[in-house]
Amino acid sequence: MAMLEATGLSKTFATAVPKAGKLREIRTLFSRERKLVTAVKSLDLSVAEGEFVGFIGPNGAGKSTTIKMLCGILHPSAGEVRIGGLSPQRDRRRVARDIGVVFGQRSQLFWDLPLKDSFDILAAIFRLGAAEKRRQLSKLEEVLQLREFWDTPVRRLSLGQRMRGDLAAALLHDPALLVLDEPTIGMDATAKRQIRDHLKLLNAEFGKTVLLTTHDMDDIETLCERVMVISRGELLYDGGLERLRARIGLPTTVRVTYARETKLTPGMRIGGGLSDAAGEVAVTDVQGREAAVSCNREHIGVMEVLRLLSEWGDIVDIRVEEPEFEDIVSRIY
Amino acid sequence: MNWIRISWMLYRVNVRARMQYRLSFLLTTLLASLVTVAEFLGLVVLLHAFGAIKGWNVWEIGYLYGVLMTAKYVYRSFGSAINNFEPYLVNGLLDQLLLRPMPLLLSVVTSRTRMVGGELLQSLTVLGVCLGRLMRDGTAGWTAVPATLLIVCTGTVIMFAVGLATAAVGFWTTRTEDLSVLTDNASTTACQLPLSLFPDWLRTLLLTVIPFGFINYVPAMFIVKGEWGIWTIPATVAAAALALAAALALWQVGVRKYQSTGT
Repeated sequence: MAMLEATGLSKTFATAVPKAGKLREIRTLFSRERKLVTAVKSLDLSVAEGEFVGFIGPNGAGKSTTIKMLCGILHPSAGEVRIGGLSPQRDRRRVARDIGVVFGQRSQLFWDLPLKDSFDILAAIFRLGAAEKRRQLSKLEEVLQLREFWDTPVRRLSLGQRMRGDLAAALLHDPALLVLDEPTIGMDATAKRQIRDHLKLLNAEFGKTVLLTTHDMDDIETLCERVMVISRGELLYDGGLERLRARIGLPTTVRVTYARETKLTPGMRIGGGLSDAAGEVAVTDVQGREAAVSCNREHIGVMEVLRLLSEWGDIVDIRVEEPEFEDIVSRIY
Repeated sequence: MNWIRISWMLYRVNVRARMQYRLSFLLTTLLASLVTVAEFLGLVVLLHAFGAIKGWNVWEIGYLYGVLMTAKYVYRSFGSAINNFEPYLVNGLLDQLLLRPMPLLLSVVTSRTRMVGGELLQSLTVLGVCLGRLMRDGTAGWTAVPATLLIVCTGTVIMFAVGLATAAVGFWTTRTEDLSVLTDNASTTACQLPLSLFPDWLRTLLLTVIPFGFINYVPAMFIVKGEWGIWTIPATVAAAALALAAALALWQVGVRKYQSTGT
């Protein structure tokens, strides 16, 4: 049975055009002027037990709105969500026991109190008995190693520690489904790697079903077997990571600095003699001695691109960049 | 009830979190007390100058003030989140509360606590002194004591209902601060004085849309003035119940309209 299922899920926000000046709330309330914004358009999706699914798309694509409808925070304008057979809107309190949710930019921990107090409070709210709480915490300790900052007030935790705390808080009541909205946002590379290891373990060892939104392609690469791509409120791709990668290839930007001003101009194609399989090597940007070309590493090696570039002058510096994943996705669709 | 225990625990948690910033707590408490004392002194000066206003003497008006302010601060102590609901809508604080397996309103109410000991002590003192004086003068009998306790309760319910309705409007407008200045601050200030002083439209407003008139004026017409019959007491209870039911209904509809915030 599907752990999570959404059919025809839509959300249209009707916002009153705000008024300015005196008593603006009251005038806004009674104003007939409405602006309709469709954030999510008739989305169908389904996640099976034990899956680790990445949910990606550019900013404003409707990711957060979808996630919030799946968790019962927002009510859909049309369509239906089922989590373990229940509607998170109609049975919000029952469903809240079956899901653990983490919003990377917010925390459900109690800011001014030591971390351990948050678990006491959440255990009471979720009505866990003392023994059950102890068992859960020792299990989570294994994965998340919280003891070292157990007594530290949450406001003094580092971002990585706080996220571990938040993950533990979301998992305390032992939900089968974990929903994570940008859990690695703002973290340095080490903290990101740690969180990814923790998430992997939670999925592989503890059998948690995970739905993850992220802007970080490395999160997706290391964690997700399956990816859903959303853009402008519509599902554009749903399938294996491999197939998505094959579709995208390995788009790369090579930036070089020449010893002298270069004669390259934006829009130029270089390497005319290459076979079609090598794809296109196009100049995208030129500024004085610097030039940038785009290519696809699926079709042509960086060394080959450099060789082509070196025909246009003496190269003194190079940089190779991979563009933001969202840029690529939105370019492809 | 289990929820009562959890609420009590959350209340203590809020107090403990608040106490992390002791100096700030002391300063706000001190300032709040100063403001209420100054406000009350203003009223005293006014009454002293006029002696009585349209047949209401100092003690009777002090009674109106005492009932209103006691109800206000009892409401503020547990309804502080409702009274300051805007951040919950603007910063998406409500998202986290919706993820708890608790009734939403209970989650909201227990998420914030304001300590009102000083203000409450002051308003109770005014209420006690005025009621005592009125009883000694023979204007009010001993039944005034349980009746006063009852109307402090119904008054708190009315305050809460109006606050809740104001907060619920925020589900449509997001911003509620200006509206609450009107429904809360302005109405409270008006009801410190007998409603009979006001023009018809304002009196009607304070007995219907924002029924603050039922917090003190209507029951006081029976309890200390003896001008109206005992029917004012069930009428007050009914007004409180009706206000609460209407506010809860508006809140239920509003929650479905919650828009949260983008990230």
